Amino acid sequence: MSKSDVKLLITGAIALFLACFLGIITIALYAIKLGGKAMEYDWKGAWGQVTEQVQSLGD
Amino acid sequence: MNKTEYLKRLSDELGHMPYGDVKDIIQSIEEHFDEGLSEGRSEDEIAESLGDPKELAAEFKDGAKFNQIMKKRKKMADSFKGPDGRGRIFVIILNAVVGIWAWLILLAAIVAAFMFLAGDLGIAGLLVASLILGKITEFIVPCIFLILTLLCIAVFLIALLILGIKYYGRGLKAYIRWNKHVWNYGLGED
Repeated sequence: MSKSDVKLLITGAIALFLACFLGIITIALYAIKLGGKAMEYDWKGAWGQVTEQVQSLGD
Repeated sequence: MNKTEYLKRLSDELGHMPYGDVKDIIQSIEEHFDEGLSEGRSEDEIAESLGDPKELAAEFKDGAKFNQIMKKRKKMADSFKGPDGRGRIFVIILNAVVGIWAWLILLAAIVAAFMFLAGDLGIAGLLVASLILGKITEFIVPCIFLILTLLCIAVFLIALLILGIKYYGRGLKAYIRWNKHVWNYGLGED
């Protein structure tokens, strides 16, 4: 294995490590943002609408 | 082929090796020619005994030393009693059951890595374009992290592909050479 191959291998390994590290941060950031959105969402209102629609279908 | 022609062809084949190594190899071959000439052999005979310069260069590239190569050649020439039927059956069965499939699977892995890289760069490009054009108004920070992650994956895949293609080629060449050897000389000790 030549020196340039070893350099390339090290570059690849660092890139893989960074990809894993940044990937975990990305997932965490999306989870936090989506979690915040879910907390703000009006679940009661939405369920009330669904219930009304189902009831109107029954009538 | 005379000495000068043989050395020229050999040095052409050794082109990618470090200069110092090529110099040592050429020197040892020149000494081999000189020894042969002093024993009364012709340049053509000596060149013929050394074999194809391409094959000799390939053995040097595999890391073999001149003495080792010559010992191996002598041993093979002494023990060679015609093509070995068992060796040929072995090559056919090995390739039909494992050899060809293993190389095809490795090739498929390289092609898959290429496709994965194209997809990765495509998604990263789309995200960058969307960010620049202002199409993404929410989740901007996670989106930037996603782009960075995709770029890191791309660098990893590029490194993997360069090394993969290089060693796939080398491995396949060595495998074909070994198959030829077993086909011609059988499975005897090397």
